[in-house]
This record gives sequence, structure tokens and C-alpha cells, in this order.
Amino acid sequence: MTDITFRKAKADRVLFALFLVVAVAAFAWTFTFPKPAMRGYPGAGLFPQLILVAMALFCISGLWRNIMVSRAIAKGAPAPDGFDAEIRLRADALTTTVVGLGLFVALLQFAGMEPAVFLYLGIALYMRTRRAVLSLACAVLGTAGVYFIFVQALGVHLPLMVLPRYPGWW
Amino acid sequence: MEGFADNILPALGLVADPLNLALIVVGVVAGVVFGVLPGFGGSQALALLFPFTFAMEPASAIMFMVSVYSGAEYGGSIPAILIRTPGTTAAIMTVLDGAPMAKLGRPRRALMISIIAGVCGGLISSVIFIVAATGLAWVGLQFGPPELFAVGVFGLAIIGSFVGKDPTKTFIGAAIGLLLATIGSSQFSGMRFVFDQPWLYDGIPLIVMIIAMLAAPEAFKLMLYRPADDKPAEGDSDEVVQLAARPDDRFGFGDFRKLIPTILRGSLFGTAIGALPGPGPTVAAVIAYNEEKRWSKMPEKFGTGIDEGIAAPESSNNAVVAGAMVPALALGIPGSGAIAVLLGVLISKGIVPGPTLFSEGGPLVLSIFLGLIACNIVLLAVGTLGVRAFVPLAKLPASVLGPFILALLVIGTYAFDNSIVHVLMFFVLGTFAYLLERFGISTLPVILGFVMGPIIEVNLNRGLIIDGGDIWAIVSRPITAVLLIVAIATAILSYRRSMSALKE
Repeated sequence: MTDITFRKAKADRVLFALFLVVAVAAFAWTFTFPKPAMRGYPGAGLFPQLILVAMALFCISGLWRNIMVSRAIAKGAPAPDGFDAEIRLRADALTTTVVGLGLFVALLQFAGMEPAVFLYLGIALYMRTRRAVLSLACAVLGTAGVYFIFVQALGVHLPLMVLPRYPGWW
Repeated sequence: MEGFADNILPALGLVADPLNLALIVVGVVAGVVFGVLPGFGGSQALALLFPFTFAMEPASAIMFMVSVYSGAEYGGSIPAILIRTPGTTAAIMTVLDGAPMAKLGRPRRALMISIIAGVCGGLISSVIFIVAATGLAWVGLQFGPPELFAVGVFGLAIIGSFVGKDPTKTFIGAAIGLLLATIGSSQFSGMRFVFDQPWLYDGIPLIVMIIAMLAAPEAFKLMLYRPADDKPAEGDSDEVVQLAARPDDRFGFGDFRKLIPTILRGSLFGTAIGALPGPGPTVAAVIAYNEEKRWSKMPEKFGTGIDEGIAAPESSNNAVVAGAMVPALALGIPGSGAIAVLLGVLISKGIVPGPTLFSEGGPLVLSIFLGLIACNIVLLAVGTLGVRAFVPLAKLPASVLGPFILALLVIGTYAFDNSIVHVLMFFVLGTFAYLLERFGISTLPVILGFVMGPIIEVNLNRGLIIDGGDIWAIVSRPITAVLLIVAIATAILSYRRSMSALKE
């Protein structure tokens, strides 16, 4: 298991700084938005600008508070509850989840619903339970469930590979 | 209330429609199932089931979703009582007295108190809802765009005071939601943040945002569960308590009569807290429990398995459902993630929540009110008869649920508009939402900001147009000024409170 551990205080500082940069960059971008059609009318950029100013202020206040508390701790003050806690991110599991989800979406688009749902459920369940027959059965049931509920009952135009959209018995 | 007499019969007709009654039953059962499942609460259940409303009429869709929400709020208490594991966060307080009572051999009594208090809470708050919402809608009708703009800002400021430990992060979350809502075509002039991509011209659909922000982080958490996480924590019982274990394991009318004051207090707390943007059913349950304990003549018995300890949180967390509908329908302010989804259902059907809904919406509002009453009656039947059937669900390993939930979310997102682009949006936003939560930014203010953004912007822009672009003319109107001052004061107070907590 690969866990990435962050110190919460440091992670918060990076988070506030990151959103501050985003707010400043997006604020600069808003000046390229269309100008108001008539005098006295609000332009497209007005509301995003108000939001981004507020966001930048929140980020600055968060950064300021974080730095002040860190300084106080450095001078010997006790760390506030949870301030320097650890944030643990299961990097391998998160990567597997995101990559698996990405492959599921790609399969759904390019191969169809049946292989996408069947393979995704089958592999994901097998990785968790290590029980092949159970995983296979759940994958078949899951695929059939999606087909009957979404394609047949709700009429969703999911891309299909083998199953008929309008079966003879319907 | 003049439209009440005109609309009551059509509204009754809508609720009595066999299809709608069936949807209420299905919704309640589905809600209880999701409430029982580990890791799933009301808002996640609603986000997951949103795609099923696409083919429904507006009244049917909203009745179905309200039934799901009520069912989920009750469902969380079943595992809380029987296996000391709350199915929803709002059921945390039910554990305190529900689990000891079940352990003492009276699980049926605990479950009966839970369902009866929950249903009473739902019924009482439904009645308050229709009276209060009609009044609030009348007040809302007197408001112009500047006042509605200030109401929106006020709503977001209150959220910062209640959600999460750090108001700075909550406000950043709300700002992210507001910003994401500006993507696409501005209603007043031109495109924003579209990167020259035509698929962004219409912005991010609310349904995609709801599924990504509310359901995806929970699904990701389930996916990242280690199989070892499924084992119960130390001190938690892995056994399901057997029902009807003791002869005095009954709950009669006399017992109910004694609990009426507790249920009334809990319902009033729940309705009032539900009407505030932000706190939600968990805070309502905590406050109702603590207040009941404070007012009790035997506070030392709380936590040992007494009736009041179950009735107070259960009546209040179910009363939140109707309470939260008051500002949502009357002013268009969603008080929680679940209510944001309910507003999303209305918006997806072309209905704009707000004061005009009461005057121009026909029997819809009344049908929601009557639907709430019907779903509480169904909940009583389902809760009383179906407890045994729901209990095994609570034992499903969380790690196995993850792939099913995630697959359902992807298919549900695709179903919205048969578009793979929306699935890609869900993929990106869902991952982003999980990371936000991991780093302490709740996605609740993000979704509330996203829902409120267009309301705030449209009213601000309308106000500016009316006042010739003079922003001072908007903010200096008496009601607007008062609301904005209270909003700023609320934000500053919550910030100072968190600072003093840090100093301690």
C-alpha cells in the first residue's frame, strides 16, 4: 500500500496559495469577457470578478491565519487541535480508481455498455473479494440490471455492443 | 392562502394518482435501503436516483424524491439501533439511546419509537411547511431583484457558519461553486470560461454537478475502502440484535402519549433548523437531543436507553425534510445538499423555485405538501413491517458497494442527455470533489454556491439594469442593506469563532 501523507498545516497553505493563484489568473482573464451591450448594463465579467475577489480574500485570510498559528507554534505555543494532523491519501487505490473509471468511460463510449459494465464490475469486485465466481455473477447481474432498467425501462440510448435496443419480446 | 381552496382538489388528485402513490412507496423503500447502506445519506441517495426522474412529471418526480429523502433519514436509524452503526450521519444521536435499549433486549420498542417519532416529526413539519412557506412566499413576492440578491448572499453567509470546522474553507467552497456556475453563456452578454469549447457553452448541467459533488466523493470513499475496513471497529457489535427479545419489548399508546412533548419539541427544532441554510439533519438531531437532555428531570439517564433519547433526534431529523422545503420553495434557497437536489429536479423540469411558484405554480406546492404527508404514512407502514428485511443490508461490505455505485453514477450521468461529454465532466468533477473533501473543503457549499449562483447573479444584474448600473443604489436599499450587513456580520462571527477555537 502506498500512502502519501501530508501535514494538514502545510497542505492547507498549499491549498490556499493554489486557489489564490487560480483566483488572480481567472480575474485577469475576466477582462477579456464581452463588454456590456448598453451603458449601465452589467458585463459578463462583473459577477465572476466579484466572486474571484471574495475568493482571493478568503485565501489570503486562510494563509494569514495558517502562518500566524505556525509562528506561534514555533515560539512554543501549543498546536491547536487538529492543526498539524496528517492527511493520508491512498495514492495507489486512488490511481486505480481514477484509471479504472477512465477506462470504464472509454469502454462505454467505444465498445458499448455491456463490456464496460461487465468488465468494470467483474474486475473491481474480483480485486476486492478475490472470489471469481461471485464477481462474475455480480458482473452479469449488474450488466443485466443496467440494461433492463436504463435501456429497456427508461429508454436511455446507451451505446450497446451486442444486446438489442428493441428486443422482439418487448 | 387564497389559492389553497382552488388547488386542494387537483393536488389531492395528483397524490392519489396510482402512479404517484406507487412512486411514493418505491421512493420510501429505496430511501430506507440507501439510509441503511453504510456510507450513504439522504443527499447521496437523491443524487444517485436523480436520473430516474427524467421521465417523470414534475409533481411525480418531486414526490418520489421527497419520499426517498424521508426514507433515507429514517433508514439511517435502523443500523444505528440494531448494530450501533448509524446508516446516515443524522442517526449518530440515535445510537446513544437506541443501541443500549436494543442491547437491553428491547430492539422492537427502540425501532417503534424511532419510526413513530420520525413520522410525527415529518407530519408536524409538513403542516408548518405549508403555513410558513405560504407566508414566506408572500414576503418574497414583496422583494425586488436587489432584495433577492441579498437573500442569496445571506444564505451563503449562513452556510459558512454551519458547515465544516473552518469557515474560510467553507467560503472558498461556496466561491468554487459560484465560479463553476458562471461557466458558459452569461444570460446578459457573452461566453465565460469556455476555452473555445462548444460543449462548455451551456455550462455544467446541474445534474452532473449534483452527482459529481454529492455522490462521487462517497463512491470514491467506498472504492478506497480496504477490505479490513469492513470489519467492525473495536466495541462495535457485529451481531444483529434479535427482535422481540423481551416480553416488555412493546410500545403502546400510553408510551406514545408520554413522548408527545418530546416529539413536539424535536419536530419544532427540526423544522426551524431545517429552514436555515446549512445545518441539516445532523445538527438538528444533536440540538434536539441535547435540549431534551437539558430540559429533562433525569438527564443522567440519557445514554442508557431511554425513550426520549430516541424520540428527540428522530423526530427532529425527519422534521428537517419539510422545514428545509420552506426557504427552498418560497425563496429558492436550498438549505442542504439534499434540498439542492430537490430544487435541481424542479429546475430540470423548467420550474423556477421562488415566491412566484406559490402564486403561479398551481397545485404543485400543495401536492408536495400532501405528498410529504402521504410519504410519512407509507414510511410508518414500511418501517413497521419491513425492519427485518432491511437489516441485512446494513451488513453489506462497504468495499463491495463501491463499484456498483460508481457504475450507476456513470450510467446515470450518461442518461441525463445521452452524452459522453457529461460523463467526462462527472469524471473530472467527481475526482476534484473527492480531493476537495480529502483536503477539508466540504462539497456541500460548492453545490449550494452552484445552485445559488445564477439566482444571485440574475437578481444582481436585474437590479443593476433597473438602477442604471449604480451598485450603491442596490446595496443601500433598506432590506438589502440589512440582509447584507447581517450576512457580513454572520461571516465575521463564524470566522472569529473558528479563530478563538484555534487559540484554545
